[in-house]
Amino acid sequence: MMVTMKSIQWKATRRNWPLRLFLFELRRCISWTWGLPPLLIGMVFVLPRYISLYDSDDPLRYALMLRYCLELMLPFITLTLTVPLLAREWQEGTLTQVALRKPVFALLVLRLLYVMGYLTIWVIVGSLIVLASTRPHPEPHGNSWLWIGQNLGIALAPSLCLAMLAQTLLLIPGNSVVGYMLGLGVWLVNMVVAPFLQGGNYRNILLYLLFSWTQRGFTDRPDDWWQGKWLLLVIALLLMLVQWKLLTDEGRFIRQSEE
Amino acid sequence: MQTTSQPELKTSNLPIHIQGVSKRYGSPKKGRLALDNVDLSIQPGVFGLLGRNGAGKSTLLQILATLLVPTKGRVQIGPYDAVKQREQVRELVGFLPQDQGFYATLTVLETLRYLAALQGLERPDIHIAEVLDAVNLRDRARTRVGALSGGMRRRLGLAQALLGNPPVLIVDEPTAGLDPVEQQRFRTLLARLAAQGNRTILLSTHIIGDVATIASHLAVLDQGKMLFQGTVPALTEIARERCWSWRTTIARIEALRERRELLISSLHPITDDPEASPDQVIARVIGEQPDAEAVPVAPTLEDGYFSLIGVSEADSLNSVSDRKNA
Repeated sequence: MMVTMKSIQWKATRRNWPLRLFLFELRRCISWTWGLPPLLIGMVFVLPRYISLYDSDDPLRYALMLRYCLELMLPFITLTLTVPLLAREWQEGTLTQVALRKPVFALLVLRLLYVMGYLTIWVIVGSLIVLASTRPHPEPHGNSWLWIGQNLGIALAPSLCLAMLAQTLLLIPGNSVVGYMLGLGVWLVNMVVAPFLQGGNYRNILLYLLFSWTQRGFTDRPDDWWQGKWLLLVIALLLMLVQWKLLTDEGRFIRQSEE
Repeated sequence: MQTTSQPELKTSNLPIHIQGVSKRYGSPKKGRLALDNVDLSIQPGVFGLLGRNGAGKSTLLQILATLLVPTKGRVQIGPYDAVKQREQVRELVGFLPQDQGFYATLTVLETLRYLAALQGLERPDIHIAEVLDAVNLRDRARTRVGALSGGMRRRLGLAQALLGNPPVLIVDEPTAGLDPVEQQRFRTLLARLAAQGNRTILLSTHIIGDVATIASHLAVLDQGKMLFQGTVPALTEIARERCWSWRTTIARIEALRERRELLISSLHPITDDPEASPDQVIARVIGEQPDAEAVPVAPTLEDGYFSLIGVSEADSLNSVSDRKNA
């Protein structure tokens, strides 16, 4: 057996974040599910032809459909993009080796930033395409940036909140199936509960659920739909703190085969 | 990370000092005590940590690797405290856990490149070439990890632990589950790494052959307590004049074993005497001379270990009966 360690003496190595790590991490995030957001944007232009919810001649039909699709479907798609972010490490037992080299929470945040950045790009691209194909301007004052910003809030706030909820829940048992099931459960509950609240005394609660823009018309304060989005972002931030706490307990990553 | 403000260590030969370390899993009252007030001093070279399954070896190693925080006590690796200066300690330590996971779809090279990138190593390709040579896996660099044999996986595990040339190497049960040829290959590899690198290698195992062949010093853990620490010959000496080769029958052995009057180190059937009855065996026993026919034999490390562990069992039985009597 050959042992040819050239430099036997140890010297302090700088633990930086080299560019190649960012590229490695980006590559590790990408999967076939990354094809779903562009597919969703494509559906915005196809669905109005087949769904008779709106007047097919409504000039704003694509703008409305974009927001409906983004608010209702993007959180679900985000689940499929974010739940697997640490799943491979959990399944293959490599978290200890990762943790000894970089904080796992930092890697999770990095991977999450890739996903959310990717989604942001598609929301903007979808909005720009709709803007280009819609007359009159969908924003009453013709402010394109405001309209795109609202789209980002409508799409990303519930997506991030649901993703954080699923990620937190899967980190407790370390099982991605739990993350999928509970995330999907919360999404379904929001879908199912909304019709029951629409006519009742508590209809304003709809403003604080995942789909506040879609449901705003059934509340007393339809212009306040953005309040719920901020609330979802705050919840996402709080859940991130919980994840930080869970991921700094590195003893949980160890596969206990002996003791 | 914090290394820029710390003095750069230019030397290997880093000792490890463990003082009064306890680790309890679960609640302070009802939780399981995995380590109980362990003191240990480890000097450079190969240091063996022996103990049965559940003795607390892995817990101790995980504390040294900074993955677990001790409930009580202090661990110092080189100049750094393993709890308060965790990041600095992580730069000193390479860790091969017992149940090492890998990204099965990556190749050996991709795995090491990714881990080197995580580690922030400069000139990673040079480091990777060195460790692949060290563990003799260069010709498997482009093989998927999922296609490697168990022995090769262990060597890849060692390669990742060696990335960055850490002066302290912690390996947990590296030869468990390997065939004898791979076991011997791995032992030789560790011995050479220790000899060439002036490293401190802490080898945890329940396979006494691992320690007997490459370690100069060792410690024995049992039920979370440190039973012994010293040299390999010192542990062997525990069984001096207490080790016997005895031609007897299985029935007598069982009777003595039930009364816990002696420890059986090994049993061999008698093959060179056609007149021997089927239940006759040559027993290697540890303790008082069991019979006038038993002849003394030179003890091995295994005898010393069994003798020590056996004493520990007897002590615990006595203490239980003492408590009952009280």
